[in-house]
Amino acid sequence: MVSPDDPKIGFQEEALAHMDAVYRFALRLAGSADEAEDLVQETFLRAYRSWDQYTTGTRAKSWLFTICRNVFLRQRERGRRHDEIVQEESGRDLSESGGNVINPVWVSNLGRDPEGEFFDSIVDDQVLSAIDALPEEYRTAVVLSDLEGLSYQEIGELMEVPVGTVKSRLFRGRRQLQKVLYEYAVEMGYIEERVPGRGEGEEES
Amino acid sequence: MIVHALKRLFGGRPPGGIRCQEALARINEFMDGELDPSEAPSVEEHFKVCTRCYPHLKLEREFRSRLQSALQHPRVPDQLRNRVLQILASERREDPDAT
Repeated sequence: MVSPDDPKIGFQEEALAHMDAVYRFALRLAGSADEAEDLVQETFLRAYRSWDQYTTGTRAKSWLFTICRNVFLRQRERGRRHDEIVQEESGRDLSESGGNVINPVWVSNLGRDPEGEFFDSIVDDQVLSAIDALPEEYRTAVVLSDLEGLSYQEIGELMEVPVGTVKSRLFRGRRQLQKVLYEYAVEMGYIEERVPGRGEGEEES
Repeated sequence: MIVHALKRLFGGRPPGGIRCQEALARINEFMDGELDPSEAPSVEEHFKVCTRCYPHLKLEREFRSRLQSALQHPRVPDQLRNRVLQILASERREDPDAT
């Protein structure tokens, strides 16, 4: 246990307080509970050893996520579990949808459940396995933004990429997830499959 | 469609002063709270008023809410928490002068 006279005072309050968040993040990175547990242990050990490099009062959670991801990437490099980025990013800004601002799920789903209430029918395991199937770069961005509420700037610093790349990864990751979950909902019969017909489409102002 | 066409013809202002295309292109940044403060009110107003864009916002909200609820459950198992604390304690014992 870390005692109050520990020279690493503050570690308990500032770092250990985020163990649940680091564990959730590690679960999504690693994809299995065993690997996630190893990641959490290694993350906190490294964080403890380098606590003097942490600036008190800055965001400890982001700092821990950075360590956790670095450990994961190093381990993965050794084991070479390879993920592929679907499209080349090259740091270009992407509100960026390449002009495709219309969500394809919304278009496919036109007239069925356009507001997406079908998402509620999908079980947690299916949502999590869809997240786990994303390339690591997308998965990390989505988890840090949608679960942990980090800003684009914070995610960019953590992943060592420009903000434009963060936006791009979030955009692509979310779209990919929506597509997978939509197809699953159709397959399970939560929503009817769309039969293409005349007059279906979208008008823009 | 006819109403929109007439509005355009007679100089009607699109909701929030921006076109659907522009609003939809900013939907993620809007939801992430990352829009420039000078842009946010127009986008917000557009989604409030435009009945064709609002379902897009609703779809994104449903999607994110589903992600969040699936992701936020796991908590650190007690045995892992204890193991981490033990590792840190033994680290401290091995190198009591560490800074």
